[in-house]
Amino acid sequence: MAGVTELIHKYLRHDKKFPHVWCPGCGIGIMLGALIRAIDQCGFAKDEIVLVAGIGCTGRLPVYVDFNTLHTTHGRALTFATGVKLANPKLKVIVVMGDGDAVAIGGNHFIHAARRNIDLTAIILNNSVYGMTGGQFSPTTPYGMRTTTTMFSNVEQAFKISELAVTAGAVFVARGSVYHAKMLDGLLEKAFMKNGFSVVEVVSHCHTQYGRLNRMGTAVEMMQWQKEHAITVEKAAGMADEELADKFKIGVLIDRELPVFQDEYDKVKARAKGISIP
Amino acid sequence: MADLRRKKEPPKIDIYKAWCKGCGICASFCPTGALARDEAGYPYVKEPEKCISCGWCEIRCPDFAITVKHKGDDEKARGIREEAIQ
Ligand SMILES: Cc1ncc(C[n+]2csc(CCOP(=O)(O)OP(=O)(O)O)c2C)c(N)n1
Ligand code: SF4
Ligand SMILES: [Mg+2]
Repeated sequence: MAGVTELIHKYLRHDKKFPHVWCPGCGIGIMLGALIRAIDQCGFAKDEIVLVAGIGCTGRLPVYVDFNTLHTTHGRALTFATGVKLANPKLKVIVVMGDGDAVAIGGNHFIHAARRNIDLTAIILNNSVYGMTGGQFSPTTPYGMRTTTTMFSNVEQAFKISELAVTAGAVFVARGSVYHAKMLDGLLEKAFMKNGFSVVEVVSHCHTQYGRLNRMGTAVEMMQWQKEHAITVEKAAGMADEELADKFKIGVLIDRELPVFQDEYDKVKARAKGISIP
Repeated sequence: MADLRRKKEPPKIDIYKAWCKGCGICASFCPTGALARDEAGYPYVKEPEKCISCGWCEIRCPDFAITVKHKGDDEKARGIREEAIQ
């Protein structure tokens, strides 16, 4: 295992303040590790990568890494990323969002980026809550759970981010967890190599806000929860719905081919110029 | 010859104290108990010879504050490693 941390340090911006801002044990740091390893494994040069994020604890991630980075406004990361990708299609554009960022305020951008099938990778860290702003409920907070804005329990149903992405048209969708960090490396690599809109949902924990109010314990206990409640897609295929009720599926949920926006747009340009295309 | 000697040498674990926040993830999940936590909750290498260099801790340290340098290797270590790193 020699060299794992050394490799990560190669990609960090050492002029930033470390240790980073996240709470002790927060899963965002674990996801950052997986992200760096996957980029390294895919062989991208630092300058080929554009990391775009919104606002939130998760949104702070790009600050720490030495790629081209854009720290944008809350919920709008995908719109900035779309602009970057269309202006310079050679760049590998990766978008990092929290659950609130991606499917609350940014929900509309999310489904439409998926529908368009624009060549981006969206990584969504799902900690079921607005971590940064004080633990308010998010569209991913499960029914019956407590947050600072649902003190008497949440009465709404939660979005399933990955399933939403599949329905909206993403060509590659995978779910992982920070406990299963090694598997996450592989899922991210696959997403980066996919042409079209790819999504990786990362189940994580916010023990400081969500965990505390729901008596779910420390970061360690919440990771133990992930270990016990994650079921691989392959295993889940042979299980009944009741058995899966309190579980979440990890692995590749969909990997398909659909026309990619950029390629289609090139054809439109050719048609407009009167060039015949096969 | 040199190889045989190296096999007995335990892996080298370094904890970068300046970045460690004492979250407890490494020590709590270490599959062999090589790591433990002190009274303040910070990790230390309690039994280095137990370390099988599976790298579980290194891959999941949220603060990039631990390194495990692979020294030895054997069947058992490989088995646990495969199971541990999922
Ligand atoms: C336009 C706008 N509305 C609201 C906010 C306040 N705000 C900042 S982060 C955040 C939610 C963060 O939740 P999430 O995206 O899940 O990220 P986390 O902190 O959990 O990683 C909100 C509502 C803002 N910064 N900008
Ligand atoms: S508030 Fe929650 S999401 Fe934010 S750094 Fe702390 S544990 Fe992580
Ligand atoms: Mg969140």
